[in-house]
Amino acid sequence: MDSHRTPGDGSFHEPLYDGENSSVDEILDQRAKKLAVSHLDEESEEDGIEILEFLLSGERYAIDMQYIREVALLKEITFVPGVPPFILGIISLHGSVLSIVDLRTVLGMPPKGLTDYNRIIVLSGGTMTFGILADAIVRTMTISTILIKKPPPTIRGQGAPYLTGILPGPLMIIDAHALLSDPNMVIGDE
Amino acid sequence: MISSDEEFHEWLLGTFREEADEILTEMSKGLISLENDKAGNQAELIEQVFRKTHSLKGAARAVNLREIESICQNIENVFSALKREEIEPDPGIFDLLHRSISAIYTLLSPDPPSELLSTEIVYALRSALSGKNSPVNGVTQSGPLIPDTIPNAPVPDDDPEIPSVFSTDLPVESVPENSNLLLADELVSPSEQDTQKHAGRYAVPLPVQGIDTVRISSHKLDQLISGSDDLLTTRLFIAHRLREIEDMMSAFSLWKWNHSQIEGDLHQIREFTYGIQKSNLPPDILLPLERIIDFLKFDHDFVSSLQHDLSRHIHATEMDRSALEASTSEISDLIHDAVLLPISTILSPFYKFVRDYSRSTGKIVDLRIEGEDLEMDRRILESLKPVLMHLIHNCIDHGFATPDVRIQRGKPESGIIHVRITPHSGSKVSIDVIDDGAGIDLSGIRKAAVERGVITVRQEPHLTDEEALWLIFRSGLSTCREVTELSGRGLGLAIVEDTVSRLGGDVMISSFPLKGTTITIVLPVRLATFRGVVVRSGGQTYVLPLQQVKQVIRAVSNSFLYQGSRLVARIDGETVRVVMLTHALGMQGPGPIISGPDPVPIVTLEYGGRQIACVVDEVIRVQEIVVRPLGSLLKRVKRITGAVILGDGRVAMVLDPLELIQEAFTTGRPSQQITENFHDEKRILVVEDSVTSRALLKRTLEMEGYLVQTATDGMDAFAKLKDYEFDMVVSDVDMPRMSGFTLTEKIRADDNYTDLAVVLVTSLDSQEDQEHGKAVGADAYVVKSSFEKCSFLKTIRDLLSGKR
Repeated sequence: MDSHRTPGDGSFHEPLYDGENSSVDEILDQRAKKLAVSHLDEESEEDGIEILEFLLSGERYAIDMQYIREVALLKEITFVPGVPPFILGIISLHGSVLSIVDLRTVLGMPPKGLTDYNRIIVLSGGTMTFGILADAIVRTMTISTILIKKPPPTIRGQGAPYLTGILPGPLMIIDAHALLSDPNMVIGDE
Repeated sequence: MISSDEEFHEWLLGTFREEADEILTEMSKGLISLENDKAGNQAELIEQVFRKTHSLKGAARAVNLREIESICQNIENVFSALKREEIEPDPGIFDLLHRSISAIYTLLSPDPPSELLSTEIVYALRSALSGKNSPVNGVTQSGPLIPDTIPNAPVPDDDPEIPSVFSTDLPVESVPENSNLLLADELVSPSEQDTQKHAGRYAVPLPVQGIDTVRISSHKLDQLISGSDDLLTTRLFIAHRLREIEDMMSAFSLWKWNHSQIEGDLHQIREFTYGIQKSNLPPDILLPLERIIDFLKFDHDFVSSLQHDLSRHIHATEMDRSALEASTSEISDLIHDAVLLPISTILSPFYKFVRDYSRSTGKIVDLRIEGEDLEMDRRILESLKPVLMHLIHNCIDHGFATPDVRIQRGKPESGIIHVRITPHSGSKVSIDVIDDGAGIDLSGIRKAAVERGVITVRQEPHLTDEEALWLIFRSGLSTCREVTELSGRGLGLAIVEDTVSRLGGDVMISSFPLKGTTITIVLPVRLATFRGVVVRSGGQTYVLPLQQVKQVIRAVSNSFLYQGSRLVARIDGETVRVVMLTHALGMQGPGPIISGPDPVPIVTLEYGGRQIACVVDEVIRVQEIVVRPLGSLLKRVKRITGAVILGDGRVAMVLDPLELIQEAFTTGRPSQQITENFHDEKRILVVEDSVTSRALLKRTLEMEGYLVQTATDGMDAFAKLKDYEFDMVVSDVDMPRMSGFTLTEKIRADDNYTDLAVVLVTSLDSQEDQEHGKAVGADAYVVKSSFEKCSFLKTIRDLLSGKR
C-alpha cells in the first residue's frame, strides 16, 4: 500500500510558496524551511498514521493499518453452533481457519437492514488473528493524529471501549489493539 | 523481533528458565540415584550432579541471578566435600540438597519470594559443611584438582576468553570446562577437542549426547508440522480437482454419442454434395455445404485430439500427484518423527515428585522407570503428562499404606511405583504403572456402585471382578464421583480414560488385593492422520472421526420407536438412543423426517461401551482429513474438536463424539421437536448473491421452522424451481446472470408456478423500482436498508397463510 503518498493527503502537500512580495532569497529560504518541516513531519511517525476506511451499515469507520494483515472477499462461511452471536462463523483463508467477527454486534449497533457485508478485513496482532466484515472498503489514507478527537463522553455502551477517536466526517476510528487483546473476544479459554 | 534491552533480558531469562528446569530435573534425578546407589558408582554420580550444578551456576551468573548462583555455589561446595569424603552422604544431606533444588525452583518462578529463602538455604548448606573451613569460592576450592595445563578449566568470573554463557549454549552436551575434574588424571593432550571427546565418552548416562543434535524451539516445530499439514491438505485438494477433471472427461462420451447419431446424416449429405447429384443442388448452397462438411470433419478431429491430449495430461498429472503423495507423506512422516521425544522428558520430574510427595504424606515410595528412552510425539507426551501425574498421585494417596502397616503386612518399608514402558505392536507403546500397594478394594466398589445407582442390586452379583474394576472409570460419565472416592482411587480416572481414548489409546487395569495394582496404557507413538465421515446435516457439513464411528446405515421408519419420551432405534438387535444431529448441536429447525417412506441415513457413534445413532441428512463420504484448530478466537467450543478444510475449500467442523454421547446420556432432554410440524413444512427458496445476506435470510427463516434452500442468482434459482417444489421465493433484485425482476417475470409467465409467492428483497428503494417489482408480479417488496426481522417474518407468514 503506497497510495498514501498521492496528492491530497494532508500536510505533506501544503503550498511551498505563499508570499507575493518576498524576494527570491526569502522565497527560497521559506521553501527550504517548509521542505525541512514537511520532511520532518513525514519522518516522525507519531504525527501521522495510515488507516483503512470502510463502511459498516452505511457509517464510516477506520482502522490503523498496522493491525491489518489483508483484505479479502467473503465467498463462503461456515456457521459454528454454540458460539456467541458476534462470531459469524469460520472460513478458510490461505489454508488456515479464520474466525469472522461481526463488528456490528461487538459495537452494539442495532441489527438493521441487509447490506452486502462481504469484505473481510483480517486483523492481526499478538497471538490473535481474526477477520471482521465490512460492507465496502473505501480507501487507505494517512491522517495526522492531531486531527483525531477523543470520543465524546456521550458515547457509552458496548462499543465505547473499542473507539480510539473520531475524525471530522464523522469517521470513527476503531481501536484494533483493544479488539485484538480483549480476553472477552476469546471463546472457551478458562 | 527483540527491540529493547529489557526485552532482550526477558528473552534471556526465559531461555534460562527453560534450561534451568532441565538441569534441575537432571540434578534431582542424579541425587535420587545417588541416594539409592548400591553399585558403588558414587564418585561418578557425584561428579555428574556436580557438573550439572556448575552449569546452572554459570547460566545463572550470565543472566545475573545472584541468589541462584550463590545457592549453586554452596551446593558445589557440599559436593566437593562429599567427593573428598570430608562429609558423609547421610539422608539429612540429601534432604537438604533436595530442598535447595526446590528453593531454586521457587526462585525461578516469575514472582520469586523475598531474599530470605535463599539466605536460609545458603546458611543451611554452609552449616552442613559443619564448621569446616569451607572455602566460599568454587574456583579456589576445585582449583587443586585441575592441572594447570588445562587452559579453560577454572572459570574466573570475568575471563573474556570464556564467555560465561558458554554453558547456556551447550546445555545438552554438558561438557563445560569442569568435566576435566574427573578426567584430569587421564588427559594426555588437554586440547579443547580432546576435552570434548573425552567428556563425551565419560559423561555418565545423559539422555542426549554428542553434537548431532540441535535445539529447536517447539514453536518452530509446531510451525513445521502445520506447514506439512498444509502440504497434505493441498495434496487432498489436488486429488479433488483431479476427480473433477476426470468427471469432465465423461462429457466427451456424451459428445461422441451425439456425434455418432448424426454420422449417417453427415454421410448422406457428403454423398449428396460431392456425388453425382451435386448438379441438382443450387450453386449458392453448394459452397456453404462443402465448407460445413469440411468444418465438421475438422471439428471431429479437433475434439478427438483434444480428448486424447486431455486424457494424456490427466494421466501425467495423476503420476505427478502420486509422486507428490509419496514425497509429502515422507516429509510429513519425517517431520512427525522430528517431534518424537524420549518419554524421559516428561517422566524425569516424577522422581522428585514421588520422593517429596510420598514423604509429605508420611509414606516412603520410590519411583522406578524402565524403558524411558522410547520416543513419542511431543503432543501426545504433553497430554500424557497429566494422565501419569493423576495415576501416580492416586497411587501414592490411596495405593500405599504407611511404612508401619506395610511392615505388618510383611512388605518392605518403602513402596515402589514401577513405570515400565515397552514397545507394543503397530507402532504403539505400552506404559505400565505398577504399584506394590494394597490393591483396589473390589467389594467396596461394588457396594458403592449399588448405593449410587450405577448398577442395580440384581446386576451386582452378575458382575465379574474385571467388570467391577471397570466401574472406577465410569464415575465421570455417571456424574457420581463418590464411587471412586470410596473405592480409594481419586476422581481422575475417568479423565485418564478420556484423555487416553482421545489420543487413540486404551487403558487396562488389573488389581490383586494386598499385592498391588497395574494400570496399562497403550498409546500410538505418533498422532495418526485422521479419517472422518463427512456428513451433511441442517444444510451444514460436519465430519465425524472414523475412530468412534461404529457404522453407517440407512434406517427405515419402523426401526424407530419411543421408549417413554425418548426416541430409540433398533439396529442389529440392539436398542440405540437416537439423536438428531442438528438438535444435538443446539440448532433449531426441523430435523430430517424419520416417519417418511424413505430410509434416513444414520451414523452410529460408540465410545466407552455406549452408543448413539445420529440422524443426518446425508452421508457424503469417508476421507482423510487434517484437523486444524478453529482459529485464535475459538479456543474451545462445546461438541467441536476442530475444523477441516474440504477439497472444495469450504470449512467443515469436526465433531466430538465423546461429548455428543455424553450429552445424549446425561441431559434429561427428551427427543423433542422431532414430531412437531413447523408450518406444515413450507419450503422457501432464498435467492441472493451476497454470502452474508443469503446466510442471514436462510437462518432467519430456518429459525422459524421453514425449510430453506438457497440459490446464488436468478438462473440458479430457476433451475432449482424445476427440480423441487417450493411455496415461496425470496429473492434479491440486483444479481449477476439473471436479476430478481427477470426471475419474477419468468415465474409469472410459467403456468406451473401460479401458486408460488415471490418476495423481492432489494437495495433499490426508489418508487419506480417498487412499481417495477409490482409490475413484474412480486407479492411483496422489502427494502434492504429498512429490513427488520419481525416485520419481514410477518410478511412471509401472511403471504404463506392468506396468499396475497
